[in-house]
Amino acid sequence: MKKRFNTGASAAPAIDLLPLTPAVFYILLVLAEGDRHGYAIMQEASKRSNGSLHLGPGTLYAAIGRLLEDGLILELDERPAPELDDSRRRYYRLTDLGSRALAAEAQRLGELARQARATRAVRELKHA
Amino acid sequence: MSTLHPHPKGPVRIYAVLLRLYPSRFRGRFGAQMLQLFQDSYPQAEGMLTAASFDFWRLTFLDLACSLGGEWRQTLVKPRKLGFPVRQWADSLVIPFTVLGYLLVEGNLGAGLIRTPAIYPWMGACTDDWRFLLCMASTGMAIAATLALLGVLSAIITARNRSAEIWSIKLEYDGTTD
Repeated sequence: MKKRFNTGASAAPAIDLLPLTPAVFYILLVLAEGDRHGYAIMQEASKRSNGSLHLGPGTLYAAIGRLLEDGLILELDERPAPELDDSRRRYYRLTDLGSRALAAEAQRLGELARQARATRAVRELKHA
Repeated sequence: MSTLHPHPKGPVRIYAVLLRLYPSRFRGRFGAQMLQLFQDSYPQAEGMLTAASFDFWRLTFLDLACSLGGEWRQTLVKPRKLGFPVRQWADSLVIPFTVLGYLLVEGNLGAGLIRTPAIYPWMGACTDDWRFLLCMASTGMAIAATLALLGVLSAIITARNRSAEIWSIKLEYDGTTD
């Protein structure tokens, strides 16, 4: 599948891009499942966050613009299923750097959660 | 009885106008997709109760307010990570423009609604309705002038960045940079 020329792709290691904002984290999470267009990203992110995250067009494309610049995602020229899909939509794909950033952020959040669970305050709340 | 849902041309037009608030570079790159996304998500709210539609517009304006600042900052203060003299004067002009716009709007509103006869004695003979209209007109002009200045600044920076990007691509292609 062809990809668009991206002049802004960064060679920065994934760890330099952390922490990710919730919007960026969910966009990467959705794209980890496969190529998606903007509307699908918006719907799936809302579903995955149980409706707590609202990605409007401005927030979504501002985040997408920065992810493209940093080389975490790329914009595809071809559409996965032409007969089923709207040709006006643009599809996005997670890059290797994007996958590594997502994994690093998940690990960071996991570590934070582990440390929080180890505290007495959280343990007491859990038993209450 | 079936309910007809009119095609949301009106809301899409309103959103297309609102998109003009974004910097031209961002709008040129993502404007069509944002409009498409708005159109795709609008009927869901439209088919529901009026409260849902109201909530949809509330979220749309919230989204606009949240993303506008970041995009203008990206365009004016941090233009594409390229070091130009233009970045320095963009940095120095953003705050004066914002303060000037704020003072013009506040000053006009204040003058029109409270202190008009003291500041503009020639308006003494005018009725309150005329004073209010003049105040609104001058406030509108102040907002328009501030937006126009920001627009011109954005256009200059975008043009400079584009030509510099073309240069850097050309230099990379020619192998003249390391």
